[in-house]
Amino acid sequence: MRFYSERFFNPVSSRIAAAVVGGFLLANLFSILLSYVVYSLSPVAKVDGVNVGILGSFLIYAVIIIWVFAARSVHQVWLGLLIAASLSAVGITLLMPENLL
Amino acid sequence: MVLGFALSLLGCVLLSLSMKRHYGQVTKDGRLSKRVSIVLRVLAYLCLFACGVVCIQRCGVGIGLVWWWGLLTLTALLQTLLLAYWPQWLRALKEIVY
Amino acid sequence: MNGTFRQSMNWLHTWSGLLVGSLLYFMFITGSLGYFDTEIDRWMQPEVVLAEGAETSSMVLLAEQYVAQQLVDVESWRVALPVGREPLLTVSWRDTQGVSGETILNPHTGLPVAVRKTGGGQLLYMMHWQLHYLPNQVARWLTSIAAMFMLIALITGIVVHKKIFKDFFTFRPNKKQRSWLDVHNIFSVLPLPFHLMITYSGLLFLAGSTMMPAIITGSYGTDWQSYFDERSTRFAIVEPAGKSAAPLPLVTVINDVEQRWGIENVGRVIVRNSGDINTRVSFSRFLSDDLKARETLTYDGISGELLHDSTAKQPSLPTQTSTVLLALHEGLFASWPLRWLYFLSGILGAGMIATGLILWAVKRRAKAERLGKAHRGLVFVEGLNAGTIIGLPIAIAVYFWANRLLAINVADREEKEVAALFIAWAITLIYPMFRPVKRAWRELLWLAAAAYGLLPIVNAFTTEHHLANSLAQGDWVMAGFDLTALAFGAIALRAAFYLRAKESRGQLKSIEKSSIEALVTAPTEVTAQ
Repeated sequence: MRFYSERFFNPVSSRIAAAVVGGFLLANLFSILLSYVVYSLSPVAKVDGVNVGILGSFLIYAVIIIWVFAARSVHQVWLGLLIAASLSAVGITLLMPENLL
Repeated sequence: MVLGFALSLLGCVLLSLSMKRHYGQVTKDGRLSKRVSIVLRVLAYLCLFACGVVCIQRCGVGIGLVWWWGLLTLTALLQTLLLAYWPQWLRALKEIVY
Repeated sequence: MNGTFRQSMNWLHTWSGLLVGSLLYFMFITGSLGYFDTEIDRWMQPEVVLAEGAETSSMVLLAEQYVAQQLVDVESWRVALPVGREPLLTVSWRDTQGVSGETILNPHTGLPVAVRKTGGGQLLYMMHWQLHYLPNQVARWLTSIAAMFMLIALITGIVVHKKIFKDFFTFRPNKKQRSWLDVHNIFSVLPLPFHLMITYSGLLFLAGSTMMPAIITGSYGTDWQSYFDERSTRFAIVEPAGKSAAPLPLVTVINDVEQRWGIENVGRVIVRNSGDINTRVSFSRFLSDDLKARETLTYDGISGELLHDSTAKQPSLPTQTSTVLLALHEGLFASWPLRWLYFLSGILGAGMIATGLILWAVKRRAKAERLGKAHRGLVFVEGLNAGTIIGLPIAIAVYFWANRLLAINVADREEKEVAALFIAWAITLIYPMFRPVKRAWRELLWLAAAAYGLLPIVNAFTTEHHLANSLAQGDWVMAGFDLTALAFGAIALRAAFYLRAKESRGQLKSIEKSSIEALVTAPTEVTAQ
């Protein structure tokens, strides 16, 4: 198992991957969900909901990244990302506008 | 805007003096009593707030706020340099005041 | 992560700053210069004839005349008027073959003016997010990612800084590491609202094309055109119908604009589908005392009827929020004193990054001296620091030198000026590898002092717009540029003298080696620090 050396697969690189890849995906999911929530559940126009999603996206991503590095264990990080992503995906499928796909 | 600059600078001077470390820098002898510190701090915040009011009055809310933050940044920087390199000017100012 | 919350945030702060620090420094320097882009444009094109006394409506008509008489088969053309800070009357066009062109006109006669071709300040400003020599999309991704790192560095920095209020005015010079930390804190905390605003709005600028297009796709699928149409307060673009029609002379339309707005603030006139029945003429203006978007009036170019007034509808709150944030970033509304405050904040931001990089290197160097050996990464970063922090300003000065020294009619003038910038920067990046680092800093500072201090003299020898003349004529743009160059030269000189004084007091450490020596002789050691 020399290939899976500590040099490449260790807690730090795992968190980096979680933040960069996992966090990016989750931030997008959250932001899409946010835009759906804004214009589905309030009299705001679709384009404005999308803009709210974009406005908040970077703050959401930043918070996720900080949480990834502050969480107590790497297991917590990946589990948390998975759970949050699944929940967002559920929310998105529920609120998605009909003519999209 | 000169008034705004003056208010902001005065506010920064007072605010820094309300802190023990900087008070000690300027007045070689003095010990900063809690009462003086609070007075200085209140005066300082009043000045900084007044600066904001002046800026917003002259330029409207949006641009006024930009002016305000810009002036705060500039005067805080100036005060930091004064404290580090020329505390004697602040001492002279203090002599003039009382 | 490794230790307490604060320790993890410290680790994150260090690495997010270190990995993209040089790129961020480049972005902050070019961005800060961008606040004076039109002023730099003017200095770099001294032949420009200023528009004092020329009326907007007559300039538009002169441009219309130029297009009608000098150009053929024009599909769309636009006039940029010398309003506000903009000094030039420019006509740009695209013909039916897709070929585009641009001419600068004399605002009084409407005849083309021979002005030297240059990227000007505009190019410096655009490098701020487009970089150079890279495909546009790649550059946008790089700058977006760097901006995201910057946001993380800012947030973690705030979290880590324990005594943010107590240390607000604190600067203790001559204390090595402590001083560098104080300066880093001051440059970060004092302009903090600016840093947060500029970073977040910067991310928003490129969000749609880089990091967050999924959010738009999530609601609009592939129909992005609807998104743009719904978002924009500008009139939707129409295709030419293919039927030709006699265009209405612009005079009629200008009169209507004059009645609604007054003509003085109009900055741009755009004519689309020229000669077609779907001709559209838009007038846009930029109100410089407000944080609002550009306003446009769009007319049918054949009948003269007003089709769209962008000011008629109040934009929604999210749209207003975006507009305000982007307006704050660009600072186009700012009068010149406020513009200097913007510039100062940007330079402080560059200083924040620079002192952060230096602080890291100084800390590691102190540790290396205790252990008796220097890690190769440290030596690399030390050289990179000097080459970037002083090297980039030198390279920009070389860009200005090239503008004055290259012959006016030489081919590819713009590319040659930019090449001079990057060649100079490459040299200043390589140079510290061959010198002991502290000496390299000093020598680069001498070079910077010469590059900026002598710039007004080069100006005097190559144009008539030198300092004495511009001061006498009250031309504050030209004079301001020369004076600022002198000021930068003086600062670099003072810094160089300061470093020499420090060295002669025997503070140059004995472990100092040049990077090349270190690369060749450094023993391999544990990679973790």
